[in-house]
Amino acid sequence: MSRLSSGGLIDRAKPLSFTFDGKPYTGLAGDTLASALLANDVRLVGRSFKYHRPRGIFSAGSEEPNALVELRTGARREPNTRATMAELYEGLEATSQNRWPSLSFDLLSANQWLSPFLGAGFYYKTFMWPAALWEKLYEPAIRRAAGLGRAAEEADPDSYEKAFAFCDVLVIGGGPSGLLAALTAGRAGARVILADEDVILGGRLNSERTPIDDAPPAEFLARACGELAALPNVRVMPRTTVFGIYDGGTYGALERVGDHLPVPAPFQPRQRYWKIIAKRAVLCAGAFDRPIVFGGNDRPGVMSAQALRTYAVRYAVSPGANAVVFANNDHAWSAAFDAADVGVKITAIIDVRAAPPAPLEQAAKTRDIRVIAGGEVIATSGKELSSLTVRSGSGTETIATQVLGISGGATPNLALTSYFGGRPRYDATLAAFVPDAVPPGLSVAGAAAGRFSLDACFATGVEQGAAAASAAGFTATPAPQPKTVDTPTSLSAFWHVQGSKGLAFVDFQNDVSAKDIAVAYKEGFRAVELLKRYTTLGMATDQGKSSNMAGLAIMAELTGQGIGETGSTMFRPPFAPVALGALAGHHRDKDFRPTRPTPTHDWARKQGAVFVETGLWLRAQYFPKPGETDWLKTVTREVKAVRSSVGLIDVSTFGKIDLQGSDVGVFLDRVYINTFSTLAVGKARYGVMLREDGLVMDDGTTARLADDHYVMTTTTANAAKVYQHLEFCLQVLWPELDVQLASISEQWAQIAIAGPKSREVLAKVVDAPLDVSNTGLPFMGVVEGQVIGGVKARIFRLSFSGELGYEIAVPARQGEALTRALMAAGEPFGITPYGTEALGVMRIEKGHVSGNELTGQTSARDLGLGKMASMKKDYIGRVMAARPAFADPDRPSFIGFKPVDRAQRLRAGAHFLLLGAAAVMENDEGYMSSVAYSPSLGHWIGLGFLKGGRARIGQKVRAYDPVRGGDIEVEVCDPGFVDPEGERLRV
Amino acid sequence: MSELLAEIPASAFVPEGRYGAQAGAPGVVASVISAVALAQVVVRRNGLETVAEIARERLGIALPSGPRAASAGDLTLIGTGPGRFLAVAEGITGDPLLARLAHAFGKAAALTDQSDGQVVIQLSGPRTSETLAKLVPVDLDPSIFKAGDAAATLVALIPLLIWQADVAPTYRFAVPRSFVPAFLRALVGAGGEFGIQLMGTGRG
Repeated sequence: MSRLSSGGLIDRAKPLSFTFDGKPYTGLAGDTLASALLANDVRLVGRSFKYHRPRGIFSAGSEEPNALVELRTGARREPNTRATMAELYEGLEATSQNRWPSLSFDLLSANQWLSPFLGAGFYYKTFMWPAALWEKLYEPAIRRAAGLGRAAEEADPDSYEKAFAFCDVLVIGGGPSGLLAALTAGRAGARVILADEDVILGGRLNSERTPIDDAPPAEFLARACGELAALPNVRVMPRTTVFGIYDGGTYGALERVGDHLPVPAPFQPRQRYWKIIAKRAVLCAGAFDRPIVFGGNDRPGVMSAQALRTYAVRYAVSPGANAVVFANNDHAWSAAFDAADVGVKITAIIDVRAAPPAPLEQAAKTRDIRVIAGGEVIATSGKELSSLTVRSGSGTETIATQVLGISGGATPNLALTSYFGGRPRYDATLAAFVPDAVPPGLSVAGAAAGRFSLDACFATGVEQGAAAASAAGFTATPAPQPKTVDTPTSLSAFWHVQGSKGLAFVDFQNDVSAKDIAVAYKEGFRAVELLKRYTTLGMATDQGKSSNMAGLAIMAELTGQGIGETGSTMFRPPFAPVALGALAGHHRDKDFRPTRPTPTHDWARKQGAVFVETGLWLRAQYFPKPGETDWLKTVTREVKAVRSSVGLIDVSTFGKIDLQGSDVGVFLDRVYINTFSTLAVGKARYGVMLREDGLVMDDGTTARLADDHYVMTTTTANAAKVYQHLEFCLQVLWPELDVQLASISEQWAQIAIAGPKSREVLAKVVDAPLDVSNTGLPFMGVVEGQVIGGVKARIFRLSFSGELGYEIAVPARQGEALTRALMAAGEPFGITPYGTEALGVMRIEKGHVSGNELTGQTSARDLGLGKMASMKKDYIGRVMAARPAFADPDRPSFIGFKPVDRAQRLRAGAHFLLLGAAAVMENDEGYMSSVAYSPSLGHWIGLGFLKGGRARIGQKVRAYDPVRGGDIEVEVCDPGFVDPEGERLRV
Repeated sequence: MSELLAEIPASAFVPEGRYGAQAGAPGVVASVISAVALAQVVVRRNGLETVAEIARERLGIALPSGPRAASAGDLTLIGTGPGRFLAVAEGITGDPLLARLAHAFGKAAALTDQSDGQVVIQLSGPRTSETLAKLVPVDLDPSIFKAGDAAATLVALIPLLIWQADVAPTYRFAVPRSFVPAFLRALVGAGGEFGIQLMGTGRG
């Protein structure tokens, strides 16, 4: 055990058992998986992506590139979990990934001996020949060898949810700057949200021992947290990572609600995706300790100097029997001192600087830490680190050590500042990129702004907290700042040890070495974005949080440009990986989108209806009777029943729009191609409306209930679109018109009955004195009255099926009662409920266009509706519909088809070719849009678009359907297959 | 919250009863208000002043400007858009409400019955705010959204109207009828961790 005997923010009274690769271990409450593994002397945690090199734990936070494990098992198995972010819980099961047969002996580690061939862009260069093998052999092999963990194979059993939060000031990060920013804004009365991805607030204060107000930092931290908790206008959100910034001050955040539990608490989600809308935000996300590039810097036991401090101070773990620190900056010395002071044996500090600050040397001396100034680590050895070789002015020597804490300086965590296109600016004195242009409403404080000392963190936190609060309309009084020492932060830019031994890694996660950068340089991939794509530097789950800087610096060295001129790649959201489940939230499985039942849904279900999704609606597709095993048999029966007697269908899903006002007629004349102002009261008319580009948008019937009152119907699919279009016309194009719209789609259930017996059925349900005789309610007529004993109704004599038909509208809650009454009234006639399939068959038999024809690519003329267009008025789409191409006789237009061999089946989607013509695009003559088996004719029939259209009636063409192997001759015919004169409608 | 809803058809109202956490009083109570009439009032062109005057004189209501609700007696008018209002009247049905509004407004406003088109669902209980935070993309903080405030918005992909009925706070939703099953599912999912009681949704 490497647990130190005292200290740490862990609960020694709460041991937790867990397993790693099946082996049992014990950690403590407060541990992460990473700290618990280190406490159990487990230092080999994973295998690298490409070379399968042994890897350990590099960091203690969300930037972790190496220690990725599979967490949990079965359906909850979660690949690529950062061990540094996984809170330990009782019974946690973790498994190493990307190794075979075992973590300590991985056969694919042989890849590293092939590294000369697997360098940057290897897959662009190798495996090029023979090309045919790429898909079958090379790619699958590479994919198997490379890669990270395995996703669970079963559906995720946990739930996820979304939530919204609003505030004046969002503080991102709860370290010293964030605490002060939140306190300052909170005290001013602003509504504050403080989000931190850690379990506890404090950030670096949990890992450092620098006194604040002459006391250990924990005392200040407790006071600050206590005050924040007591402020009713401040909401603290731990375990919450702000991962993106979007328009209008919207911030995406992921709260890990149940990740620290074996299974989420009852009725609680695993994770919650927050949309936080903030007037202002202060980014206090701190900085990352970046590695130095030298041979063997990826060996388990090599970690960031700040991580070494965190494991020692926060988790009371010595990650090895002894440790050496190798750095170029003061902050790493502080880390070494803190670690030493809590009991880690620090044997040496190696600083690349020939003369590190004297006070630090003195402080090392008092702690009995050897200082090697002007030194560079040139090699490491051991499967897990056992020794290192250092080169300095006094020659080279080998030092035995189990841990090497490395630090090339601090990299501000500024990813969020570049999500609106802001490019970070290079600050040579800090040897780091700092935020420049920031998203609107966001400011930056503390280490994220390059203000690394604790004192500066406090100062900028207060400053930005106050600024954010006043920008949000509050008067902020800067609070007295906690007293602390200005922690030393000087450094000497240093990136890469020249002439070191072995592969020197820049990017641990993607196995990008210094050599790969040199290859990219040599091959011309020098711009940073090209460098990234060519070498994969900074890609994958860690997005180069620790590695980018050294990579850019090495490229800058090679090109001879400065780092500032070389520039940084841009960051994109998400800051840290976000599970897709969290983005979906409630909307999965049956709740993927709303399901809209029709007013007669329950009734139809009881009749045994099979339902079909049409958009969000669930509609009855057909009503199989016992013994009917084939849908075609059922549909044929339904069609025959309608054509011979009477059938019933719920058509409530059509869009219904109420239009009132003195200008409705004028308005309709402008939105429809045909005229409605002349429509008599009590009559309905079929109309076609175009988009501005001259193509058909929708069709439907509109009825006139009174001089200034019309009711429009739209197709089910376009209900919302047409309403929106009409609103646009009224609000933007013709605000002077006296027209008032209301959607009444949900208000009215609409039940259609059709067939020669439909009038007799209808007559039985209407209340006196309503007259539905042929004179009282002629074809295309509409009457208002009451049905089934006092229920208000609108009855339209319309037909989609081609039979005598009526649509009866009643308030939605009466839809089922009306249906039952109609079924009872129709019983003597064998009234048959039918679904959307039979409806479709009958409209095809009638040659009516529908969704398959109203594709948004067809004009009124294409659809055979050109003659409806009024020449006496203007309407939307008129000018564009007059473009010459629309009048081209070769443009495919609407027509009917039947198979020459009547026993053949037609297929929608088949393309037409002249008989004998080769099946190539140049010979294409059009396509079949809708087909059905016609029970009335006893063979398949089709509708479609053919060059020349009606002029070709009687000709034969080839219907070619390579997708389903169809290739038959069809005869071109009039699309009105049944009752083309419409005599049945007027009886 | 799939385990709560797994057995309930997506096309049906979630039956009345208690869902989610069972301990103690429910955190949220959701009730379908059954005896309520709704009508949409759309002001005729240039008629806003006339309608406001009529509302004040004949209905005793100061017509709300913006997304607000104003009431007198059993009648509430809620602003849903420029010159558009939803009239809500409890204890009566659609036709009498329409007649009453027609009598008051005459030709100054276009009226449509919406009593069957939308369902009014009321939400109250100690954990209402936390539940609504998961559903409503509107700032409902008491300092921002007060009794009488309203918003036409999208909840779980459902277009609806929410207004705050009192300071308790009690909220009401007007949900398009065919979207009610989906709305109830989202509501039960969001309120499950606090324990949610559904009333008036039928027995399923």
